[in-house]
Amino acid sequence: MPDAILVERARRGDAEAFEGLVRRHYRAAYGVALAVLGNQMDAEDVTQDAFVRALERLDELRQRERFAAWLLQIVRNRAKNFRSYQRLRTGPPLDTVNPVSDGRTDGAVEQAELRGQLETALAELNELQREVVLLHDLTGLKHREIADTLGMSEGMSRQHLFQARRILRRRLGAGVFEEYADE
Amino acid sequence: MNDERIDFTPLDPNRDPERFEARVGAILAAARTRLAARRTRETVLGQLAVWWRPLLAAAAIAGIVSALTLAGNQAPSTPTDSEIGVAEAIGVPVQIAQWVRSDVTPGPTELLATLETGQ
Repeated sequence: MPDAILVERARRGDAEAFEGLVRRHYRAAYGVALAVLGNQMDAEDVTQDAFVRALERLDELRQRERFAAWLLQIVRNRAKNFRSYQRLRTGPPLDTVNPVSDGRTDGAVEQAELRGQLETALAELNELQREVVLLHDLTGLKHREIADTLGMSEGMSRQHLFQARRILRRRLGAGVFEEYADE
Repeated sequence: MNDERIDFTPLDPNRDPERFEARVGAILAAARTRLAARRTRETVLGQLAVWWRPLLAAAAIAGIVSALTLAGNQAPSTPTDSEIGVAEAIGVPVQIAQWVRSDVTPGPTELLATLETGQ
């Protein structure tokens, strides 16, 4: 079912329609939040907050078929606000807290290590590079969609992706790359 | 262009279905009251929408009936200004003009008296 129909139904309070939008766009929303914030826990919290905020503001969305780009803008703004707030606080950053440190299997430990490596490597990118590479390689958005979401040209999106991958390759080695045809 | 996509699987929120479902559930729980408010609002608006057209139609009918009633209750028509003006313009006495417009036939005495007075 197209986004526009789900949005219209969610606007009337249809919980199933709203859930459909959440399931469809969660990964992209999370990817944007992760790009801005750099760690899983904060990204999940901001993603949740952004979906609820989007529901509150759903009447403001005129072009309902553009829900995804609109949502990602909300995520981005919420994530930046969260980061600003976080910088004002004292104490250790949240990404030093490991929420699943007990009772994990070897596979889970390995995944957590890989996640940590990726998050560390991503921290070396600038924000736009992180956003572009996560939106492209994690969420599978096309350059046209990324450009629309981030307010840049497709050419700039390609350039940021190229630079991000080069930095990550240097930082992580060849193990994290997979061969894909690029659009 | 570098065409090697980075494997971000460890960061993929859909990788762990249990965690993903928990996150979706948390979002839906947080949205529950807002969705309920939207349903309530929609119900009120829906009722208004349902009644809006019949109310408009009823108002239109009431307006037409009122206008017709008012028109029907107006005083009987009298000679128009233009008719009086024409009769006077050609020098016909007012009384004679009224006889012409009505079915009353004046008697000879009335006719003579009117012609003498010229009114």
